[in-house]
Amino acid sequence: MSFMGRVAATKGVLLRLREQLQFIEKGREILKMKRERLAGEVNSLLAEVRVRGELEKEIMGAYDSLKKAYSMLGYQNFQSIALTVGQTDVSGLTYSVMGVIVPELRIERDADISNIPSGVAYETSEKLSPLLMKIIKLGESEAKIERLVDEFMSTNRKVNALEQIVIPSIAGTIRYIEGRLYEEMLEEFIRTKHIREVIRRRRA
Amino acid sequence: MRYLKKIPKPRSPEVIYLITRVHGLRTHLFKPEDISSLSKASDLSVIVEALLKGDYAQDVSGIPFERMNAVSLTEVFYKKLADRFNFLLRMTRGSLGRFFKDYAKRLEVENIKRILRAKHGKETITEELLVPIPREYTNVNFPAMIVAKDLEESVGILKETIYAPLIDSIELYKKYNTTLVFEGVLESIYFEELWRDAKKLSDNEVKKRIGKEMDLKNLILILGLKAKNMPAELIEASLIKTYYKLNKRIASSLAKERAESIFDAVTRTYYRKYLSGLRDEIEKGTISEIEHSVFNSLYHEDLKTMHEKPFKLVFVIAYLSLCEFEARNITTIATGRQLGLTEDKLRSILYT
Repeated sequence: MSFMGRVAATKGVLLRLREQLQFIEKGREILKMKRERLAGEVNSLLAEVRVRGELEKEIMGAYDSLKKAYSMLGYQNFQSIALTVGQTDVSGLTYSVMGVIVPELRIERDADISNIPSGVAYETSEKLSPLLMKIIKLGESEAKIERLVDEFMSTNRKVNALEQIVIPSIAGTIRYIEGRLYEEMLEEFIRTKHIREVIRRRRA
Repeated sequence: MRYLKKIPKPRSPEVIYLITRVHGLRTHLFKPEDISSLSKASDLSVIVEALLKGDYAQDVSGIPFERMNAVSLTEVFYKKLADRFNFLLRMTRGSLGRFFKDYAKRLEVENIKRILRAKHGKETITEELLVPIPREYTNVNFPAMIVAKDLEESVGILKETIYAPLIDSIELYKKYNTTLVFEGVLESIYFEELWRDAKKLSDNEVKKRIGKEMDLKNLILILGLKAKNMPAELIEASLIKTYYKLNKRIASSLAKERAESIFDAVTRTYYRKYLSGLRDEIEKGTISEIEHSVFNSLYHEDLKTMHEKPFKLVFVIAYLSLCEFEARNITTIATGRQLGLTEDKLRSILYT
């Protein structure tokens, strides 16, 4: 994307291009700041996502317990016991991080497992219930990371485009116009000198 | 005249006939070694094949191939259990008949609990989730309870049955918002009736078997509710109000016992032999282990009764109890196999 050859090499254009370059460089700095902030946010969330492996192990353990309870009680009894457990209410909100809309999940009401009459089912619920909270938090963090990383990549592409293409191109055009203007100034100077010499010779 | 009105003595022809029939019926039960070999089955089809050779053949063969799974099999197992209970009912009359009728009510109680749990959770429940009890063997209108709009209406339907005291428990239910209140009252009503009938039978061994089950259930209930940090008032309200070797004072003091001293307290009772080896489980509050261990002991005692008291009425009770254990065991095997539980894990949760 070159402006050379398409722009008039005038002082007015030069001034406008210099202003434009200054503005773009400021924009680039802002985008860089945004990129850093997004990277910071993602980094802080990564710690929350790192528990995934551990959580998966815990879930597998809880599933083993669930299988045990299910097998001991049978489908009908297990299902009936499960009906005593109230639902977990989760509400979804959103907020903005550097213009990126990210989700936030709030657990409005935790499942009440105190009604479970069977020992094996109660112990399974004791394992599963906190895991459900962890899964919700992990899901929230992963969704945030996904959106933040998307925006990070888009910002990164913009910064790269500015640094690698737009700014060098405008800087090149400015250099070209400056060169042309210098040449024109030299030409003018020589022409003036030459005219002055011609006038001086005629007078003599 | 009073004597004539009494229950037939254990040696009466009716009892002898019943015991003789049960001797035949017990051969239909899976032996511990059958259960052990079933637990080794590689998949559900091997279990189905084994079931097709026994008492379950007719019901299992009625399950369409595409519905052949642990859920359908469990339905069949509990239907068979209800049939086995009802078969004895048809053979007995008078006070003995009343005793077995009240004994079989444990399935009815289980169904009421299931409906009330669903109503509490404001969930819909279908008859498929209930133990199939033929209409002629129950006074409870389960379809009406199922369609009742809420828990109170559902409990209200029990007004004309022996479960009417549930209506008085609604206040306590509302206070603690837990169906454990109803479950306690139901168990209490059930055992109260059964205990009254058992006493009429003038058979100490029957009384001992029923009384032991009743007390052990109470102890497990106390330990379970204490593990959940439930208040003493709720624990006491949920207890079976009839006692054998326990009494109200002991039960009440156990309900108020501090968690750290509960082990010492329960092992001071008559039932120390069932609980003394479970210190860790009681202190940690792992009720499933306690429950399993206690009921496994009962299972072994019932097997022992079958061998040692073949001519006593308690033999029949042991048979009914073993029917229940069989239903639980084969449900565990079928479900566990379908869920891919390993053989070791499966064996650890079976009554063997």
